[in-house]
Amino acid sequence: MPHQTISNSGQPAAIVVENVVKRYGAFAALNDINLEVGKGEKIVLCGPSGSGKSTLIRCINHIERHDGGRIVVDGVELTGRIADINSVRCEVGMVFQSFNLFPHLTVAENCMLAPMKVRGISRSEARDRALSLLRKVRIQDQADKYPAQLSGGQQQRVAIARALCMQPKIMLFDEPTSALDPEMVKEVLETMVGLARDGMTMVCVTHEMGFAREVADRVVFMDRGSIVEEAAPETFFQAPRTERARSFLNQIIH
Amino acid sequence: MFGVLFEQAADGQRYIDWLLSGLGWTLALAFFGWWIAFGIGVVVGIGRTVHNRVFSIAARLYVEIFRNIPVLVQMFLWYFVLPEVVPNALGNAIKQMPPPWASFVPALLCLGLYTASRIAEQVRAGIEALPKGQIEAASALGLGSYATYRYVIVPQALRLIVPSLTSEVMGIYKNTSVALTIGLMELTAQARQISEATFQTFTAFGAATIIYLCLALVAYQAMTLIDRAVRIPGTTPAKLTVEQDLAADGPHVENLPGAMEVVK
Ligand SMILES: Nc1ncnc2c1ncn2[C@@H]1O[C@H](COP(=O)(O)OP(=O)(O)OP(=O)(O)O)[C@@H](O)[C@H]1O
Ligand SMILES: [Mg+2]
Repeated sequence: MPHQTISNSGQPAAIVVENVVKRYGAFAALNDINLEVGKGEKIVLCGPSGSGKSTLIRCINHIERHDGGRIVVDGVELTGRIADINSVRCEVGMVFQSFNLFPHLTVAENCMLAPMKVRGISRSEARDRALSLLRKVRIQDQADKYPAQLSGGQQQRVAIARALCMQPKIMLFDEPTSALDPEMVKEVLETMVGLARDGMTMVCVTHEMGFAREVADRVVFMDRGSIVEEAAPETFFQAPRTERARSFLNQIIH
Repeated sequence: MFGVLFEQAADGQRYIDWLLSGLGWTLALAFFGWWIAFGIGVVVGIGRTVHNRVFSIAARLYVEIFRNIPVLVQMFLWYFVLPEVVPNALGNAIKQMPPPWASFVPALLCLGLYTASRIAEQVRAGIEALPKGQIEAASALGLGSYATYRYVIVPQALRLIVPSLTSEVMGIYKNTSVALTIGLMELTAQARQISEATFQTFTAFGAATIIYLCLALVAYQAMTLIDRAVRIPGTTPAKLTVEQDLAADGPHVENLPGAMEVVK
């Protein structure tokens, strides 16, 4: 499906979310969400617990199926019957709060599995690629260890390298630093900042305001399944327009 | 007291040779039955967890049927009933198999397929025990369902269930004794034959008991080694405890009333 949606800027958008609804039973986890992410754009998604942030990015990656509206990722419609969801997922990397590394595979094998089995590249090429990306997240000397032998921060950097090995066009992060001890948050954020500098399109669910200030083009604030406010980070943090955003910011600063 | 085992029997062999030949059939039945059980059990166990309705219903049916019919009845079904219900030519071919095979093949199928249904449930439990994030991470990387099962789910699930597979290994080798009811001269049958020929009941069954105990120890040790060999570095060891085996033993014992009587 070479269907392309052109964004306001005239560039084809990386992600288009239109009137998306997601229900769990009678409960609407996402309620008429509209969001457009341009190529190379960096979005920080924040909001109180249960506001639907994870649900939204899981719908973008089609781990959850949306019930209404449409989602277009990298020009491919993710609505209704999808011919080949896996080809879309190849272009979208995802990093989870709980790392979700494969514990029975070494760090390098974690990074090599999908490129070999999905992209069909050879083992040696996959290993070269894995090592070079592990070097990029500064963890190449751990390549032959198993995930359980690494610290949380190291595991999360491996998870980032693993996603990058698929050479995705878009990266989604779901609270990548929330499960980490404070001293490890920095190393993961630095890795993400590096990625942003390389021009990756990123959607990050995070409450790290320093990170948002440094890299985000836009901060999107969600509450109770809706997008309540969208603004440049400076504007959002200095002068939030809505009461809900103000009280949320007060809570995370306190 | 075991001296009598080294005396010559009517057929010119020593009684100990009878026991060893019985041991051979017991081992062959347990060993080949195990691989049938493991192969089918893994496939059916996976089938229980897939979204495809046809597969999951078929797998469910398999498990319910084979797990809930007593082993002894299944043994009789394979031995007596199967040759009658298949087409005549095939039925006759089965009946005309030379002696040990005519009992061995049905016993092998019976124990293999029965144990498979038990292993399938362990495999399913292992798969369901994996964190959901593993499957999500695999999908997010674009792995299809075959690759996800092959490289992510099954290798982890099998490691997880090594302790409960230990009791299935124990189970299949103990259940081999049921094969004496369809005429396979395995270890228990040979012990009974010795006891009848020599009237040394205690010696005959004492020797068989010791052999069964040794086999159990060997199986247990082997599984402990396997558990250690496949353990993921950096993770805490899964406990391979005796209590688990004892707890899992319950159903096997219940499935053996007929065999027990024969032995008495
Ligand atoms: N599988 C599910 N079944 C039922 N309800 C769900 C399910 N997943 C999420 N929800 C509900 O949807 C709402 C949004 O959840 P979501 O995980 O997207 O929130 P979140 O913004 O990511 O919160 P957090 O900051 O705690 O991660 C919550 O109220 C949650 O209870
Ligand atoms: Mg969340």
